[in-house]
Amino acid sequence: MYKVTIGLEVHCELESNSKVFSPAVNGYNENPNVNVAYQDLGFPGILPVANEEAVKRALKVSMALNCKTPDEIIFDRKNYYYPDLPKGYQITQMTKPVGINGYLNIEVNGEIKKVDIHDIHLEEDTASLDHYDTYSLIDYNRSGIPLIETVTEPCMHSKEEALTFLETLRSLIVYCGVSQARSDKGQMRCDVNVSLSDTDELGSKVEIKNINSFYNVGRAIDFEIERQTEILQNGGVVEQETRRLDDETGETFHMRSKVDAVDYKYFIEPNIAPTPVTCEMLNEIRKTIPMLQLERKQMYKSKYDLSEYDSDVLVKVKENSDFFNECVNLGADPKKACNWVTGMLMGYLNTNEITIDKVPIKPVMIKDLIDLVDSKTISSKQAKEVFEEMVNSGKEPKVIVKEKGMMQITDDNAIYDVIIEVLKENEEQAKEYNPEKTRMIDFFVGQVMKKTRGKANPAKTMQMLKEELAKYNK
Amino acid sequence: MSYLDKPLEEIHAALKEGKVTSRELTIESLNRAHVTQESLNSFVTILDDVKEEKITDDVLSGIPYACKDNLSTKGILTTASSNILSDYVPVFDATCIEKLKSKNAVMMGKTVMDELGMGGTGTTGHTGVVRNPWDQTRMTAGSSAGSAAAVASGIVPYALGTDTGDSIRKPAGYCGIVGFKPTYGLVSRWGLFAFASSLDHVGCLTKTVKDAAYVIDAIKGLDEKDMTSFDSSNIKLVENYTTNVKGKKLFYIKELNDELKNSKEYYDNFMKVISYAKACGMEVYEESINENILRSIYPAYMAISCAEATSNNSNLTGIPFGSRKNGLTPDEVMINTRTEGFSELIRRRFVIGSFILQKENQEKLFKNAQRIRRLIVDKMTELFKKYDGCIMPNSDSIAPHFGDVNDVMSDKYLLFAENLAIGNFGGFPSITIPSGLIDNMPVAVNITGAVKQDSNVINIAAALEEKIGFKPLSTKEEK
Amino acid sequence: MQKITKENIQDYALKLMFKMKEEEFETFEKEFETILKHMDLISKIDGIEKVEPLVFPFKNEDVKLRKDVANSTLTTSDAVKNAHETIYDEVKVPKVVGGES
Repeated sequence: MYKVTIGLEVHCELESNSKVFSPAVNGYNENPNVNVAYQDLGFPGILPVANEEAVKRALKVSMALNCKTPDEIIFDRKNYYYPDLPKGYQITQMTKPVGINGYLNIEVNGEIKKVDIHDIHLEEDTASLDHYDTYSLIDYNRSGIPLIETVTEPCMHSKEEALTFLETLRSLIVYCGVSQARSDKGQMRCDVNVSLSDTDELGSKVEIKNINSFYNVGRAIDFEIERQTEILQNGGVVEQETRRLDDETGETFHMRSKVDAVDYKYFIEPNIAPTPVTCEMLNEIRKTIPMLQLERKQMYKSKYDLSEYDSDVLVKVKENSDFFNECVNLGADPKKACNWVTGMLMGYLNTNEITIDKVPIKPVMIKDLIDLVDSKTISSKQAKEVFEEMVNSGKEPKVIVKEKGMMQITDDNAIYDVIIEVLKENEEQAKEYNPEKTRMIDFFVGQVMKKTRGKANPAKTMQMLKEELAKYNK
Repeated sequence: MSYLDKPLEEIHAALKEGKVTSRELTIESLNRAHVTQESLNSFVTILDDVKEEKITDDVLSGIPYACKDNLSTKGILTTASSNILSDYVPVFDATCIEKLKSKNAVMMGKTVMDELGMGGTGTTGHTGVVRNPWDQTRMTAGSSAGSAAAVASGIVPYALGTDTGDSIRKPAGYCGIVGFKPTYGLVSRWGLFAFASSLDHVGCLTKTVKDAAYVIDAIKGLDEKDMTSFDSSNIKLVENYTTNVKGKKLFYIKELNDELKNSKEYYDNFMKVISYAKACGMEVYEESINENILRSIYPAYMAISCAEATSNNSNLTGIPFGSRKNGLTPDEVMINTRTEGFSELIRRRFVIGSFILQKENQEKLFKNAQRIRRLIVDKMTELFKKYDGCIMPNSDSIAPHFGDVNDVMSDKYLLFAENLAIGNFGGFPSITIPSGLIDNMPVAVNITGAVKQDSNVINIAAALEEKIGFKPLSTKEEK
Repeated sequence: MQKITKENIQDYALKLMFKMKEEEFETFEKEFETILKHMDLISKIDGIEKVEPLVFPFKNEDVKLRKDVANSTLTTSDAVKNAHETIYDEVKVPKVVGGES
């Protein structure tokens, strides 16, 4: 067996109103060349102006990845020719990326593993190409959309680790609220490098470029491990090269060798004057970084004593986890709140295929609902009925209980008054009361229930009735 | 003398008083352009259909001007004098053009330049060489060649130019006019076809220093489209214009002066200007700068400008715009377009620039050039703490004859090859004014000052201009 | 540093997407030697390696990042107006094969 070493370079589009260096709309459009500005086609005389929001979002992810941030924002040019690159260079970061030397903790098979981040940088996306039989068409809508590229150290040793890293990174990006990070929309793309070795030294690095889904990352790693193992077992030498994945077959193919490596002739972009990164700016951004998925899960398990399963379910979507946290912050019992959120609420969301923000329910309602049950004001069965009404109407649970007349009368005085009234109205029967005849007591309970429209607590009513009737027959 | 040949203030007054109309001035300017086009070749495009503009309180309103063909003009062919852009019609205006439009200035033509700005002779434009109005067997120098010829020959009172090494100031000097390159970032570069972004400036060529003040005042300003532009609301060149420069301190560079002593007439001319400076009440001192650093300006300039240029011009592939040539693959399209679209000189510069940027050469070539840049800029900045300006001979020659010089890099360690690039290295305001005639051809001096001290530089030049009393060609000739 | 030869000049040129003609090599080689000779002069300046390279002419105190507002004025028709050939508002090129560079 050879030791597998994997490194990842993950591109993720950032969401923002405008592109990273131009004021064109940052968004998908089915019509070509609609979301474009002069910069995005590389017209002579254009100048890039860096987007503050994109820079802040990139810094946010950088800090969430525990990276060291730079003292100023500058960019570099990466020079190469390709039909989708209108300026003939991509503006990216090399000299001072938004983050260096960070890490991300991931959980693999119940163990925490620290994945080292080499750097994270902000750059612009290229135009997109549509291929036809004999020609290709260029659409510049994507040109200039902000991308963050996260580069790990080669420090992962299995497909599981790599895929868990990708999922954890995606969750971090989503938790930070900077992108939906959906690979099905092309928002996330990866380069993977895989090397095999039976010594302490790393083997030849084979890079597989531009993989469009996590599923395909897994396939590429599987294929490479198999391919390289076979070469090594036959006494061969793995060539350091760049390969591409065929989405159809899951096989990788040679693209170029190390000797053909492109010299991108990086140099600092002279048109983007350096902007200082101030402590105020960083503190301001830091405040907006939420507690991340893994930390939340650990907290749920240790502090709230929730199960592994429930914790996982809660943290899967940040908004659900936020909702749950708010319930607990309002004083709800964590376990009960978890039951409501993971059970009724998430069931409702799943059934209706909607997200929590589309439901008019607020954390305080769950808290109130739990309180109503705890105080025996309503039964658990009634609580479910209240919940159904709550998710649909957004009404407060107390209001629903009142409207539906669900409130149980547990107040002794209230029940006593009704009992006295019933006994007065049925004086004769009361005098004939015989504790041996159960049907008689049932009659009185029935009368009380009739008057209270079923809200009197039956056990209490029975007990008090017995006491009162006993007085009559002394 | 036609109103067209007068200083801007006088033209404006005449327009206001109705002595002449914008239409008359424009027609006269267009006529002069056509009459001289065959001999001088100042223009790529003469805008015959241009309309006169209404006269406002703005001094530039209604007055025709010419624009270098590397400034983006919406709906008007803009070629940068290169075959690769021979049919390129921009869809947006450069910020300086927008500003002049808003001031009702009348653009009457786009001027010939060295291809893509990358030359200093005025002979490499795709529509042919530009000839010096003083002597048509001589060059104007470049790259703002057509702009210099157009102003010097009186076609327009002023023209826009751009300056990366000396591209406004060199031709201005050879054509006996004023050339001003303000502080880097005073005028937005939005719409300027980039040659070397960290050295590129927009500026103007005029007949008087005060005219330059008017033009730069009109086009300057913070531009949100150019991150290197700055707020210059406190820089008011016309308002602060004065020829009273008593007590100002100038220095000249000893090493340049020693070199100039080899050409007596030039040395004498320069020393005469120094005596004028003193006569204006200024103090003039000699300062020494390490000669090896001075000699390194030329290669450092070549290295930085070629490196940035090769990247800046990577957008010229014929794909979203430009004169595309056919090919079976996108690579072939790009290769054919660029092989045919660029002249030999340009391709040589790009290869050199790209070599300089290669990973294994960056440290020794590109970064060392940037280090020289720092040394010279730091030295000048230090001197500008003591002095209001540096006075330099603009060149050690008059405009050369065609064939005497070309754009092949000189083998010699030249002091005067690129001395004006000091202004570009530090983004310093730098103005060239005529200082007399040698062999009946104009020579010039240059004043360079500290960053954002544009007014100082303008006023020192204005005081000297008054003392020198140089008569521009167009005002000398009987029209 | 690599020596410049006729072979690698053409190679450098092709990486920049153009060809050099045979007759252009001579001038090029001469010019190339010149710049290297000049650059050598720079390397010999005392303490040059300790100098911080200067990228921007001076520090721009007014620099601001752009507010995240989408306000482009470029229309689709203007965007592709200068293109050699378009189909349905997209820029047409011969078929692109192979991955990104």
